[in-house]
This record gives sequence, C-alpha cells and structure tokens, in this order.
Amino acid sequence: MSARLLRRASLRVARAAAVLFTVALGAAALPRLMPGSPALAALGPGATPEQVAAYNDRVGMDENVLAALWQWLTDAVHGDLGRSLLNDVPVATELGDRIPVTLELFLTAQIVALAVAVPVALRSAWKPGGVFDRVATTGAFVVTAAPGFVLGLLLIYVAAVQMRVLPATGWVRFTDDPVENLRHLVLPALTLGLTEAAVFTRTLRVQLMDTLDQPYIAAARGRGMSTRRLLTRRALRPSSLPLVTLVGLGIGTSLGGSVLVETLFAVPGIGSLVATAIAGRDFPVLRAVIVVSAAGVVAATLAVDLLYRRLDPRIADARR
Amino acid sequence: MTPPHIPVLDVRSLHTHIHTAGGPLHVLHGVSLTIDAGECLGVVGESGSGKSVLARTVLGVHGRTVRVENTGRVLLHGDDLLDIDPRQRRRRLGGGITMVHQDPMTSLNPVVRVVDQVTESLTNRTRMGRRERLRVATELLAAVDVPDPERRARAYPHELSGGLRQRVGIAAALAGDPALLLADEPTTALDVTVQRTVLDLMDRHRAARGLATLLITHDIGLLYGRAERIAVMYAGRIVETGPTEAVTGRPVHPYTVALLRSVPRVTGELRRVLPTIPGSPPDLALPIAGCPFAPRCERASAVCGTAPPPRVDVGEGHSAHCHHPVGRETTSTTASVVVPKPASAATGTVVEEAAP
Amino acid sequence: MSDTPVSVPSGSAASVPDPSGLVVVAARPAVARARRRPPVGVLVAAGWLLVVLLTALILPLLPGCDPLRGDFTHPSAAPGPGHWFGTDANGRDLLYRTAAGARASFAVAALTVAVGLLVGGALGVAAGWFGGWTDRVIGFAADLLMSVPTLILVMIVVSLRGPGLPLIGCLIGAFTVPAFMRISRASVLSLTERGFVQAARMIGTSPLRILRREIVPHMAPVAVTFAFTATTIAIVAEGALSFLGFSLPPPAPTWGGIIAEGRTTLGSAPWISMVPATVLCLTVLAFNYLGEHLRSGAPTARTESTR
Repeated sequence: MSARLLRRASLRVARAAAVLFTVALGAAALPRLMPGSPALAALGPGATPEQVAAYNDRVGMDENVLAALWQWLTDAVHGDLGRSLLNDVPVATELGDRIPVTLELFLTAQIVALAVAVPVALRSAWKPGGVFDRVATTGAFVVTAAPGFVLGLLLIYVAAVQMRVLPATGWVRFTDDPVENLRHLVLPALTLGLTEAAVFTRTLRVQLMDTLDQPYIAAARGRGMSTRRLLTRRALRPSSLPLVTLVGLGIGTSLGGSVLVETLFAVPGIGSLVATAIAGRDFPVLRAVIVVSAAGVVAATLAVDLLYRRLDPRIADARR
Repeated sequence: MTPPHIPVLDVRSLHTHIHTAGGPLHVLHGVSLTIDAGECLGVVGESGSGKSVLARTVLGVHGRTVRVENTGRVLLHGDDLLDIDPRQRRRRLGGGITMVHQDPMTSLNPVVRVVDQVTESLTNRTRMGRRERLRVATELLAAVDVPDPERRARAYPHELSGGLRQRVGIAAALAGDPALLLADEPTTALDVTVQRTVLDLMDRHRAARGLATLLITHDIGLLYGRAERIAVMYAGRIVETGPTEAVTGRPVHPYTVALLRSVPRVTGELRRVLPTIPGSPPDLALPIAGCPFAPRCERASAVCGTAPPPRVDVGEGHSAHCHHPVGRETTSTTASVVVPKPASAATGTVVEEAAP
Repeated sequence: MSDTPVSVPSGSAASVPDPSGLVVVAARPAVARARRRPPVGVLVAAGWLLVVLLTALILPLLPGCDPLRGDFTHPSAAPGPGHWFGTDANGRDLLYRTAAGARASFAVAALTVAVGLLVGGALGVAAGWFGGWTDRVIGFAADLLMSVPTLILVMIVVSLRGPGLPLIGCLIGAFTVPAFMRISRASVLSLTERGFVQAARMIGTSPLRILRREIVPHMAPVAVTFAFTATTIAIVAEGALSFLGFSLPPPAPTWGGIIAEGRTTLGSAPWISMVPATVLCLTVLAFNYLGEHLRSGAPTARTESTR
C-alpha cells in the first residue's frame, strides 16, 4: 500500500511543483508582454540609459527569462521578493503587511458562508419542495445572479447610506481597535460571504438530497435517531465533499474577489495592493502576488485531496 | 378469567396508500397478522407485493419524500403505533422495534465507524462515552459471531465483507434489546454460502431473547424449518396464511401453489426447467374489482374478475382468500375445465366476505 | 460570483465535480420536454433577454439617443418623464447609456462563448480521443490556467496591451476553456467506453464523420447548457473589469463603468448605479434561469425537489 501511495503522492507533488514553476516563469515574463519599452513608458522619454538599465534590472528585463526567473527564485528563497517600483518598499514587507488583512476578510467570509449555507441546506433538503426550501432555493438563485460589486454596493447603500449604522469604506486594524475593526469588517465580509453562501447552499442541498435518499439514512431513522442528529451527524459528512472542493477552489479565486471588494470598500489588503500595482505597472509586486497566489491554489488543492480522504474513508482505500 | 392474550405485534386490517405524482397507490389492502414473542412469521411474495411496505409501515419509516396514509391498527404490545405522537413512536424504534435491512452494502453509513452505528439505538436515547460505546459494540459484535470484534468495531463498513456487514446490521438491530425484529430480505444480497449462517444466527437470537420476528422474503423455500407461520402476500393482500407445514404442504391458494412450484426441490422428480408464473402483478393505481391474481391464475373464472374472493378457512389457523381454492373442488381438477361455481362447493367453510 | 469570474462555473455548482455522460442523458429528455410546454419563467426570462438585446441593438442607432450627449439642464435627474431611467451627473440619459453598455457586455459574452466552445471543445475532444501524452499535456495546461488568479491576469494583460472588447472577450474566453474542455473530454470518453466510437472506427468511418455524427451531438446538450453559464461568467467578469476601470475607457458606456460612476452619488442619486446594476443582475438571472431549465427540464426549485 504505502509504496503505491508514496508514488501517487510524489507524482502529485511533482505536478504541483511543475505548475508553480510554469506560473513563476509566466510571471517573470510579464514585462515582456508590454509593447515597446516598459522602461521608457515608466520613466518617460527623457530617461537616461543608466536609468533604463536600472529599471530593466529591477523588473528582470536585462537577461533571458530563465535566468531572471532563477535569480528571482534564489532571492525568494532568502525572503527577498524585490522592491516595489512605486514606493521602494520591499515586496515581502508589503505582503506581510497586507496578507493578514485579506486573510481576516477571507476567513470571516468563509465562516459567514458556511454558517448560512449549512443550516439552510440541511433544512431545505430535509423537506424539498416545502415553503422553506422554495424560499431558500429562490433566494440562493437570485443572490448568485448578483455580482460581488453590485451586492457590495447594495449593502453600502442600505447599511451605510440609508441606515447609517456601518462605515461604508475604510479599515481599522484589529490591534488598533477591535470593535472598529469588526465594524469595518461586516460589509466586505458579507459581500464576499453571501455570494459564497448561495453557491454553497445550492451545492450542499443537491448532495444532501442524494444522501438523504440512501438506505443507511432510513436505517438510522429506524433506530430512532432524531432528525437533528440524523442531519448533522449522519447526513452532513457524506454530503460535504463537493462543498470542500468549493471552499478549496474559493481560496484560489479569492484573490480576484478581494481585488473587487477591497477596492470597493477601501480595505488595505492584497487586493487593493494588486489594483494599485496594475495601475502603476509595478511588476515586482505583481510577480510576487501571482506566484504566492498560485502557491495558495496548489496548496489548497492538495489540502482538499487530503481532506477528502479524511471525510470519506473509502476514497483513501479505493485509490490504493 | 385469564387476562387476554396480547401478541407482540398485532396488525388489523391495515390499508396503506402511497401518494405519487401519478395518484395514490393502494399498496396494502386490509392486511391483518399477529406475531407472538419468540415466534417467526414469514412473509412471502414477489417484488411489488407490498411486503417491504408492510415492514416499513410497522416501523413507521418510509422514504423521506414518500407521502403515506394509513388506516387500520398496528398494535405493539397493545399500543396503536398509528395513533401515538411521532416522538413517542420514535422512542419505540431501536428499543421496541428494529429492522434488519436488505442490502448491508447500502444500509450502513460509509463514513461512520461500525462502533457508532451498532450502538446507535442506545446513543439515541442516552449519552455514552467513547470507551463505553466500544465495549458495548464489541460485546454485540461478539454475540453475532464477528471474529476479532474489537478491531471490527473500529473499522469502517467498506472494510468488512458482505456477510460481516450483515452481522453488523443484525448487531445494530439487537443493540436496543427489541421485542420485535423486522427482517426485510436480510440475506438476498449475500453470497449463498453465508445466507444460511446469517439466518441461523437470527434464529438463535430469536430463541434466546424471545424475539418476535417478521421475516420477509421472496423465497418461500427459505422459511422451511424457520418460520412457525407463513403469510403469502400478493398485490398488497395476504392471500393465504397458516402454519408453515400446512401452507407449504397443503397450499390452498393457486398463487401459493405456483410459488411453491417455482422452488427447486432436493427430493422428488428432477425438473429441468423450474416453472415460472406468467404475467406480472397488477397496477396498484387502478382499482381491483375481484381477485388480484385472477389475470394470471390458471383456475380463474368469470366470478374472479368481479367479486372479491371470500375467505376460506381450512382449519388450524390456515386460511386463504380464493373463489376456487386448490384441493377443495368437487369436480374436475384440470385447470382448463374449471367452471364457475359457488364458493360453498369447496370443502372449506366460507366464514365471511373477504376484505374489500 | 464576481470574485470567480472565469475559472469555475459556480452557477452550475451541482455538476462541477463531474460533468459526466450522465448529465447528457439527463439533459436530452429535458430539452424535449421543454419544447412541449415552456413554463412561464422561461418565457419571462427569454422575453427579458430579447428586450435587452433588441434595445442594445436598435436604441443607440436611433437619432437623439446618443449615450454620450449630456442634457445639462437635467443633471442627476431622477427617473421620470423625459428621462425614463434618469440621468447621470453629466446629464447623460441612463437608458441610452445602459443600452449601449449592453452592447459591450453581449459582445464580450459572445466572444467568450465562441472561444471557450471552439478551443475548449477541440482540446477536450483531442484529449479524449488521443489520450496518453496529449491528454496529459492538455490536462496540465488546464491545471495551469486554473491556478492563476484569473481576474487579476486579465486586468494585467488589459492594462499592458490597452483596453479593447476583442482582447477582453478572448481573455475571459481563454479562462472558460478548461471547463468546456472537461465537458467535451468526458463526453468523448463516455462514448468510447460505450463502444460507439470503436464500432464506428471498425466499420471504417472517418474520424471527422465520427466527430460530426457521434461526438458533437453527444456533447452538445451539456456544452450548450454550460454556454449559458459561460455567458453569465463573461457578463459578470466584464462588469467587474469595467467597474475597476479595465474595460473601455470612460466616456464609452459599460455597465460596470456606469455603476462605478454612480458610487460617489449613492446617497443623492442612487439610480445612477442601480439602473445598470438591476439590468445586469436581471440579465444574469435570466441566463442562469434558462441554463438551469435546460439542465434539469424545469426551473430549479421544482425539479430538484421532486426526488
């Protein structure tokens, strides 16, 4: 068993490494995607050859792509991700500053999404076609149709403009003022979380209905199990695999979402960093963000796979 | 006077309708039966005869989306299960009534360890610690002859063979020390070699615990020497019932005769081809005016299509619902020349009009 | 869904894990049933899309309906006679602007679906047909595409190469390729497993004929269903891009762009954002609804609950 499992695992890791390497290569080539000279575009037509050379050195344009990538990777291993072209701050410092903000937002959104989706899907799937189910299904369907920036705008309009109970934009660090941090967290987290909640609900509901029709559920009911216990202890786990996939994929796509939400709510996380970096052609920042994000996706994929095995013991054995 | 005898299970003219998109199905049609402590009643019939619905109705657990309507009575120790509130009823599941399911592959939750499923009947009512659960599960598994029970208790269902899984299913059913065991084709999904041992195991526990057992099967041969009594079901009705020897030895209903003919025998003449029963059971969505078996019956006459068959008592608790009971004719025995004749021509006595 | 613009069809979450042949089997009778008696919801959804499409095509051509001309006597006018949907801060009519914005959205969506369907379909067929290394290389490329932050990459490329609807459509389309690819690959594989393809090969049918007669009809229902999802992905992604300022540059009307312009006056003139936002949401809703209807044979709420 273990030799095969090991082979499988090493294949997966090798594939993940290949994906990461290719992404890093693509990220290194980004400045070359620009027509003309990025240096002249950034520095203006009056730039001296020395300035151009310095610029090209910083964005890795002065050598071939593979050499530039190698240089970047060796530096990265030592914790040096280059410096921002815009404010000369080390990219690693900038990321370290902003990742906690985005992570707080993302995790809160996931908690919101799961806290809404799981109970709603359980109740919905138990009595399909009932009033609750129809309301929930329709609601989820409508929410999925609203893009994050529209939903966010709507939340701002209701909570900040009309009711004036929450700040529309801005951010306060948790370490500075926990209460204000939470108040600023609510709207962006809801924006991200509600959309996810709708998708989660739909997915989990379909899977739950399939599970609830299984004979082992009827068997557990026949032993006198209460509906609540039946749903939470017996039906939820075998139904959760697609949900786990979605949450895992969400980690990968969260960066795109955070660009929107952080721009909309002026939250100083990775997303707004990316927005500024794109506008300012800040290649060192973009490159680091892309590679870090891809690493996150790869790690999430592996984590999902591991979690699958824990959730369903049959998977671990069947793949032996 | 001695106190009245109360059987463990007493079902009285139970009618069950299942509502489907295409209208209601009349799946149980005036079913009556009793089972005493330590007794085994075998229920035989083809698929679709209503035997599984019967078990599920007694248990009170149907598919989640199935809408069911019952009339009649289902008495467990004299309490009408159709009449008590759902919470009271649930309390009896696992303890009073339990069920052994048909397919041990699908009736065990694949992501829950055996120990937690076996002890479910107990943990649904009382809290049990981890260690306590493992101890109880190990004991139960040992009682159903699972080798190395403690290791098996920690395993997941897919790690066990089909026979072991069904033993786990039986252990789970026995955990709450029930009075009534419903066994819905408990061996159909198993290898022939383990079928017998599983049935013997159930017999052993029935004797030891005085368990009333409802053993559902499509294989009447399986009931020889196991069931005290047999009820033959067809189209939601019990068409013949009586002691096992009487029903299998001197069957009265043509359907029972046909069922018995399709069972391979070790003794007697060798038959190359086992006879089958031509046709298929009736559509339960349509009303049935006369005898539901009439379209497939080689003895049927005009009256069978119009009048419900009367109950014919042939002694020692053996009775059937038939216009032309087998072996009770005064004239010809050749099927093709059976002429319509009044039921009173039979040697059995007509006791009452059959259930509607 | 805005945060997952092009990588995963979250609208079709139910079928994401395995868009296998089973879905196809389920989709066929559904289509047939839908043809017999289209439910009210389908008529409403299709009607709405028709109205939006026709308005987008015709309205900007009419004289006096210039989305760029400002009515300086009525800046930020509320919806009412004269300006049915109100005007923005520059007095430009929101109905005309929203109609013109629909052009951008639909153009991007059409391009996305075309690119996704053609490229993804072809790659998937190749992967399923040839198997082996072809399959592995194509699978790796799909993995690669799924591991990069799609919206950000599109933004970067657009910012470097300059905005333009063809570029945006192709980029978003490129990111729907993996999903289309998986659908067509699964379709080919399921046919191969069932022996159709072998049988056809054995009697000497040419590969192109097999492709046309067996594979394309087989994958069409699922692919068409997913095309609806891809359409909404494209509309939402284009909206997000233009909201962030990475689509057509300012005076040109786009849905996301108008919504972004209205942000600052959300308190005093909420309709500037809300008019295009509502049209956007209803359009996405209509596409989702039709896709869902095709997938299951009836609107979500009802089919999913029958069993």
